[in-house]
Amino acid sequence: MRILDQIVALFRALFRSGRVDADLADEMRFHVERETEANIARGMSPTAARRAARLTFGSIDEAQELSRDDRPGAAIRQMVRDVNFGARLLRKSPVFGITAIAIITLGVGAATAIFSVVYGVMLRPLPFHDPSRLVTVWLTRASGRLFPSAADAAELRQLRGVFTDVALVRSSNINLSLVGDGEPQRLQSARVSPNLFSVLGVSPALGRTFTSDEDQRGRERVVLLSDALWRSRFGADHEVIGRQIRLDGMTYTVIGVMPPEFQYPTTGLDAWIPAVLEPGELSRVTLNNYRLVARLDPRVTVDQARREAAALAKRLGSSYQWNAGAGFTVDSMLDDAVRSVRPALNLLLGAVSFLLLIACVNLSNLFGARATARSGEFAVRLALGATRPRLIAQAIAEAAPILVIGGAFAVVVAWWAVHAFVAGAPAGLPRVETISLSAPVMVYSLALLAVTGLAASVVPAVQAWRSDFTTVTKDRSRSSTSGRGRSVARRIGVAAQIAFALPLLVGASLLIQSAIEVGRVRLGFNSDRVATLSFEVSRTKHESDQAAAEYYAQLVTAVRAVPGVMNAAIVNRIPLVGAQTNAVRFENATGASEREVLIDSRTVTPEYFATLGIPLIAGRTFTDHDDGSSPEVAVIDERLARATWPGEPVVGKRFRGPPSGGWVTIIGVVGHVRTAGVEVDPQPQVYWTTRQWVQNRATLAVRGDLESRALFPAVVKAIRSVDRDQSVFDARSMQEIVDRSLAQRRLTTTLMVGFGGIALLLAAVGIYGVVAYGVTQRLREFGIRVALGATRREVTRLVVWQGTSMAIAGSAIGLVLTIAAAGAMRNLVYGVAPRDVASILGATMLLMLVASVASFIPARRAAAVDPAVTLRAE
Amino acid sequence: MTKPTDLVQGTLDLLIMRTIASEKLHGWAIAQRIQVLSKDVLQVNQGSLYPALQRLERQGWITADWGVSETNRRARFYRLTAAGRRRLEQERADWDRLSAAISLVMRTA
Repeated sequence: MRILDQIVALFRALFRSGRVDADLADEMRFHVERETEANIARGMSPTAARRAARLTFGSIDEAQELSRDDRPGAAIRQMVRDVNFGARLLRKSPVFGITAIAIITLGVGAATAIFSVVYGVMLRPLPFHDPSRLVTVWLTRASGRLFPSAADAAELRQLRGVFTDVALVRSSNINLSLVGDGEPQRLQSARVSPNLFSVLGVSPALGRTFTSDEDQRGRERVVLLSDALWRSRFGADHEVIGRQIRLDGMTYTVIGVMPPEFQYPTTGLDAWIPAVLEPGELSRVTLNNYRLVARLDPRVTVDQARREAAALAKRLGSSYQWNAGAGFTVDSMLDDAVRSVRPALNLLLGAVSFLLLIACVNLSNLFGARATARSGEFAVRLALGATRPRLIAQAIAEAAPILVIGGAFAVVVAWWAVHAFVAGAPAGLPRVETISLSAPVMVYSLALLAVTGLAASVVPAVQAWRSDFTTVTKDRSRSSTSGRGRSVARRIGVAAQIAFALPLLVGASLLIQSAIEVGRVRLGFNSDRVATLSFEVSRTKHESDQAAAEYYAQLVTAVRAVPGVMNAAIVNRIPLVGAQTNAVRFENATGASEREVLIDSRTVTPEYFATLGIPLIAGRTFTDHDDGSSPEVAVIDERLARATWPGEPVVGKRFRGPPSGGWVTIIGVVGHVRTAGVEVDPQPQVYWTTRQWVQNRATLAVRGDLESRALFPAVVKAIRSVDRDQSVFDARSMQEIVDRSLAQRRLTTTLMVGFGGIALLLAAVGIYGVVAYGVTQRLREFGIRVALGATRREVTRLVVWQGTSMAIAGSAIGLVLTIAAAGAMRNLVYGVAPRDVASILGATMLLMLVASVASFIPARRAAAVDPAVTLRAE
Repeated sequence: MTKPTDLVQGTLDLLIMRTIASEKLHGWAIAQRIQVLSKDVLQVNQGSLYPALQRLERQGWITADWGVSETNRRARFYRLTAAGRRRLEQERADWDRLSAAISLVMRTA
């Protein structure tokens, strides 16, 4: 009960202090009156009695004050008073307040926004059971990472005590059409091994997941729905379990609905179906690509798993040709998911941290200047009996209103920035859906605010501690160069801002140059007036390869007949969107096949090269006569041709490879295309014709009058005239595809340029503030100098030098920082070195220029002093 | 006659608790009673009386309510709580031990 009593007392003291004070005053008044009466009883006159009573009691105010200090919550009340005082100061000098709030808003807001992205994408645990134990496994070769095969997965599963289980996911999105009433809907789905859900440790929201025998032919017609599809197409009906739906012409039974947060392997999937292994997959006769996800055995670390997998790769390499020279990489699932964005996010986090440091130093200088201006006040209060800890507490509490307002604005700015970011997130940024101002982000933000608060109050606090009546009053009367120690601290602060600003400016410059270089890249195709439309051919309807190829040809013919269409073609994957890798062996001079070469393979209809504007360099392209009954032929790109047969005619050469594994004759050479990405120099390219190698995935490329709004509906109508159940998706212009592949770079560049600009602005304001303040302090000195014969030019030079000397010192440190941090840029620059001398020099010059301008303005004021006025001023 | 002794903190608490152990009193009466009982040797400075009363009240050793004084005025009367009574016993024992020890030293040394 004691604690409760104390809480009640604290509450009373804090919130009912008026009542407590009144009670005490009443009591004390009674005391004096009673004493007066006693005095009268002793024979004094009433006036004398009252006087004597008052005298013995002493000051009622003092007694009240004493008992108030002794009451609970005294410290809290004191703080409230200091904070109130801080708020009054803020109202009194709004420019100071607005500047400080703006600095906090920019610094903390930007840092919070970037951290929320970093946290959401890179740090937040994956939404699976014990996600730190989940790993992905890839097959690696010198040329890059490849998807392993089902046979590899089976071997990995056999490793004793390394993985508890290994699950397979068919990496390419298999697109099923949900056919029924109305418009055929294309579903994005994944084929997965039945154990996927136990490996990830997720349960369905409704129904069940796959049983272990549902990957057997005959039992595989079962489907799990996504929450989104269940809601949009089935009205969130709980009776959906057990219902038969038709997918791609076949009947499936709905067995479960996954919870909304289950988005694997990619976001926006509609359905999961069992992956049925084709006969021959486990014996490596047929190779299919799978994404592998495995759960580590509890006793095994990732490193141990890596070693075991590497040893396995070596064993497999000696037994199977495809695995020769290949290794396995085992990575934590989260690391693997964010691999592509890690360098950019790390860079942005580093940049925003520098920006925050600049903001802190700036804030510290700002508050320091104010404290200096109030040093007299501090000294007087100290002389009147205030304790030093009391003054320090006040210095911290006074900064509180500015911090609270700045912090609130920072959260608003961060909230807005995060929403804008998520809405316009570059395509391919993983885990965008988890980006938000979550609790850990808010904790981080509060910590940042505490750091800025510390920065704001440390100088005033130190000053209060050192405050001493005699020096302050002496300082004032001797109005020459005051507070040397303090002005040095401020100048170091400015130099630090320059030092942190330099790497940001260099980074921005490097990214701008990279963006220009990337803009100059020749893609190898003409994106102008080309649009694309994807679809998936139904192999139940067009069962034989020949029928499917014929269907493609019909589609192309129908689309080419549409008014406004100049040309049209079908390709399995359009450049910059996806790639397929295969191995081929080129015939060498002796007729034997040489070692395997990994190539980027595409299957196209004959009009493909013309439609995308890929130039034919030698030989011919495909015709309709290159079909199943004629010899297998291929077209290769010029770079591959030059590398394989330098100086020799290529047409007529042969290689062994898909689709049958037999000899394929090269009939033509075409231009090199950037297929995997604008910035990635891709693998060598080989093209096949759809009539000899048909694939279910298809993208229609159309060259035509894209300005016309009627074009797309007409194209879709033409497709439906061939097959009215054909669903289409992803209608985009080729330019849009190019833009999308550059979106991440563009965003990183924009943010870096923004951070660099803010850093430059803050540094300029910082230099201006310190130099201007110095000029005010030294006006008398300048007056004397001018009176003694210094020219205005000399005074100007003196002041400008004060500013630029800070900039030079800061730049020197900044150069060291820049060179040390250049490694962070290595993966982000294109066509420019991470330690590009021109960028570093340019950024340094820019900072110097800004420093000169920022100190020239106060210098003019110093040069304009009239000795007659300044010397008489005090 | 010597000047009234300033009371050490803690001693004042003990005296206040002792004074109100048998009956409830208001602040003036407590000061008065201490002065009278000590034959004017101990004079309670009012500036320390009220903070001390508040402190004791907060610690839960004494409690107070408004009543009517002997002069028919509104006054705040303090009395010991059960906890205060235990505390007083303990303090009194401590005090006895301490003062006996001091006087022993003073007499023999």
